Amino acid sequence: MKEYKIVVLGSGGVGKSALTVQFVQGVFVEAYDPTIEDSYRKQIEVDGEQCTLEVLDTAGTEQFTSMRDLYMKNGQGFVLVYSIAAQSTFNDLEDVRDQILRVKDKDRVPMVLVGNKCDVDDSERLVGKDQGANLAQKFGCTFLESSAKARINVSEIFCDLVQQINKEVVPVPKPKKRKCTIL
Amino acid sequence: MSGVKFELQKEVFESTKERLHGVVTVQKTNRKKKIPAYLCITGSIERPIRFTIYLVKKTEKGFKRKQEWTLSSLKESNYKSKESLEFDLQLEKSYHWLAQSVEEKDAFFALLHQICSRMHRPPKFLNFHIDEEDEATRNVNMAIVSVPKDTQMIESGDEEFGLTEREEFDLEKVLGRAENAVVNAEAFMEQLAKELSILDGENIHSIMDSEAQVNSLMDSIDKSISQLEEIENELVDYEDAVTHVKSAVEKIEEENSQMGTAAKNNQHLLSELTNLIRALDFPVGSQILNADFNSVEGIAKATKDAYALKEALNIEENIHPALLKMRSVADQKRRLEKFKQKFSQNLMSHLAKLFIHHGNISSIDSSSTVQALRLPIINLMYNELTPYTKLMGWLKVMDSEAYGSLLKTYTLSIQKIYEKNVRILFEEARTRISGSATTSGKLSGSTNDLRIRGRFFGKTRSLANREGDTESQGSGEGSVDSSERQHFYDILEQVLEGLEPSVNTEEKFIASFFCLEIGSSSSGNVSIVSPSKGSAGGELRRIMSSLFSAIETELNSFLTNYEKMEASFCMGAMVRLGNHALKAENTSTYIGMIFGSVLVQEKRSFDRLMNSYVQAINDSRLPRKAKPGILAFVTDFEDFAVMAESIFGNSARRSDLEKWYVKMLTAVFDGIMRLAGESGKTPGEVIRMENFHRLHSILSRLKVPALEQQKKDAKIKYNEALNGYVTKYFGRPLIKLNEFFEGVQAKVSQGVKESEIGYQMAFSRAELKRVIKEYPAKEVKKGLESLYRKVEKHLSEDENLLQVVWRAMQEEFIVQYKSIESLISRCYPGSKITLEFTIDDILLFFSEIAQSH
Repeated sequence: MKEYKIVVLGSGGVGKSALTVQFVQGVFVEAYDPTIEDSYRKQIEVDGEQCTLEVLDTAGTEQFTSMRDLYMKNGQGFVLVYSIAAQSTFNDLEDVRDQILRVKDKDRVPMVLVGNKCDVDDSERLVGKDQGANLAQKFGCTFLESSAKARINVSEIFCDLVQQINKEVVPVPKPKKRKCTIL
Repeated sequence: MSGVKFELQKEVFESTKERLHGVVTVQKTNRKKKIPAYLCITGSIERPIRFTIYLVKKTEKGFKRKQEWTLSSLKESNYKSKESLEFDLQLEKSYHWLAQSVEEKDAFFALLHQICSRMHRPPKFLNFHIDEEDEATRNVNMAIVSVPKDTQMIESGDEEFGLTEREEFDLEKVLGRAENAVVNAEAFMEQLAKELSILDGENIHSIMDSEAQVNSLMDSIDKSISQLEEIENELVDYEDAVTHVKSAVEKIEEENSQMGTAAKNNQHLLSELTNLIRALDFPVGSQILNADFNSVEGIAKATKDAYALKEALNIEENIHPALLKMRSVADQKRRLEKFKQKFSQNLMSHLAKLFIHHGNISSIDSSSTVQALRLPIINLMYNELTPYTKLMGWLKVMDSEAYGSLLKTYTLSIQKIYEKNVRILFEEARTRISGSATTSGKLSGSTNDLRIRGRFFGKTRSLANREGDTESQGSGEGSVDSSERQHFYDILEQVLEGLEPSVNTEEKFIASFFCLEIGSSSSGNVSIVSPSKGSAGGELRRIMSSLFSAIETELNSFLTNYEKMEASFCMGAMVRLGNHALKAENTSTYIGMIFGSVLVQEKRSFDRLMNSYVQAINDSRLPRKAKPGILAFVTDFEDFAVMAESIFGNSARRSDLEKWYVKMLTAVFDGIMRLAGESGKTPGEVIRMENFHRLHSILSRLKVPALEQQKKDAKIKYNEALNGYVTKYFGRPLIKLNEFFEGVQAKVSQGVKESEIGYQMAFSRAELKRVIKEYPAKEVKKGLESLYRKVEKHLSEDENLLQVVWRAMQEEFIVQYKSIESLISRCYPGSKITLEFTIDDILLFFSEIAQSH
């Protein structure tokens, strides 16, 4: 079975763990305990194929920034999460994305931009959907607004990422060897 | 004729507001047809009066104007002769008409002449003469014709009549006076001539009289002329003078304005120069090179001078760029540049010396403070260096090369101190951990580590690789264990606390001293600042990591070392590190980052350890003993939980532990069920019963809210197992009776009445009595005794559930007894058949058996 290493990144308190736990265990964790690092495994079917996801839920707080290089090196796909109720968490992601590209030394890395907490009232929303869509367009990646609480677009994030990784790894077909015909 | 005139006036000229002055009936000379026409002279009623000549023809419909001319267009009129009726008028062309009568023609010509005579350029009148008498009468007639003799009476704007009003008045007066003398014209003339001559005479007289006066007047006029000439001459002189002065004044004015411009220019120049000189001026001059860096005053002065020098060198900002091309400016700049270079060199070498010096002395005397497990703060150096902060800022701007090399020197020399101190700190921490074992008096110092390793290893193995042979963990040994654990954690806490202030102080010092302001992260833990972003922050982080690289490695190796001895140390380490790393004030500090990285390592160790526990539970086998009793992993879970609770308490990392609690308990539940199914001699129910009973009591004691569900599950599973066991092994001690009554029940359900059961062959009263006879009280007791022995053999001493089971069996027996009794009373009423023992007997048997063992 194919294995996918997925890393969930984003500022503190945006709901990385809530999304991950909702995805893996199907429950919503209400309480906020800053994560240090948690690793989960989950099997899902994407495009008729069984695959195992190894989801690494990371710390969002600043103390752990030095670990990020390592996460980025090991991860295959990245979930970049911000909270639609906190502008700064949105602003932080551009640097994260730059860092991923730098570490991977690539122009494109499988990535999904996620605006979490989309269940909040409009009065609490501070990051518009169009802002998210624009940033995703700039990143050249998928954009989803999700809610771990209301279970909106949760598995979609991971499915999309798996598809992106699949597309990426598709090997370039080798040119056919020319056969010699001996007369 | 007047009738025609009246008609004409009324029908033709009324409407055009003209007055008909004269009319003559004419016909064209060359026409044979004699159509009478009227040649009319009219004047407009409104002033100025315009005279017009009309040719009006009479038709059946009335009068019709055929042609009209203004009077001024009349150039010539020919009267021809007195005898002829013909006359010519030269208008735009020559017209020949034939008047009706001479009178009309005369009257018309007279009128024409009269009107024309007042025009400026009267037309020529040929062959027409008018005598004086006529003229006079005509003049009088004028009033009749009512042509006003008004000076304003203008024909075509430029035609005027001769007499003024006054002249007319005088004339009238004269004529008035002469009216009565008109008859005697000669006399009147004479009189007039006489008066005239008198007047002439008087005139001459007065002229003669006034000659002298005229002469004197002439004289005075001559005089005044000569005076005027004089004055004129003078005026000319004056004018000359004034003209002269004027040119002089103009000149002066010009000069004045030029002087003003010059003055302004001078002022500009002066201020520009003053600016330039002020900008370039560096009064200290080469004195700066002798700056005294050894006293506070000296440093302050040097700082002031250095900033003055900076100011002077930054002239580009203050003065016009063109001025920079001035030779003296360039020279001065060069001179200042030289000063700057020399000064920065002096400063650099001085500071470098200071750094190295402090690097050396601090490393010597610091070991004493390390003994308190506290990384010493190099206050001495900070105090000495702080005065240079401004100079450092100066250097950073003015000489980045020197700044860079100083930074390097600083890093190199201070790095040594920290590296050494960190090493000493951890050495000391190790010694203290070993030392505590010594004080516990159990082992000699030299084998301390081994002792710890051995004991923890044992425990670790018992948790991680349980093979079933659990070494019993006496409470006494456990407490030593936990106190040692506590000691380790205390030391770790001290180490963490001891590191923090020094590193933070150093970070703050570097940030201010080397002017690397940290990007303020007031947003705290909701914001991540990429370390690569912000050159100052990145630079600061770089310096910090080269200064304190030892901490992370030492801390990691310290923890790994002890975790090798006792894997569960990672739990406490995680909690302690978590407390430090996640402190709000550590969000953006370097030490916070170190702790964060180590914390992630510890979290991983913790996850690994927990995973190994879960794995161990999953891999566990039944002990080969006859009675498995309480499974090792159940007791181990309790030990683990007790220890974990003591470590985690209410710490922030509790959620990590609880996640594993759940996973571990799932493994424990599964393990119990799995091993219960595998058991050979001992029934699976017993294993489940005993273990779930224990697990429930463990969870009740732990009182972890998150595990409430698991506690309930354990209780349910325990009850299930107990019931299962009792029903299975208590079985039916009165088996034949049971079978008899099962047959009874079957019949009843087939439709046989309960009261008629006794008439059935197989269930007759005699048959019932026979079956009852087989279970006398003695027999029953014997059966129960053997059951008790069997149960005793099944159950382990661990959980001491024998009494519980025995009691459950007693309950079960009574239930069976009661059901049999009720069936007898219903199916065999009045037969007085009873079992050979009573409920009291049963209770007695059970208590006797229980007591006898």
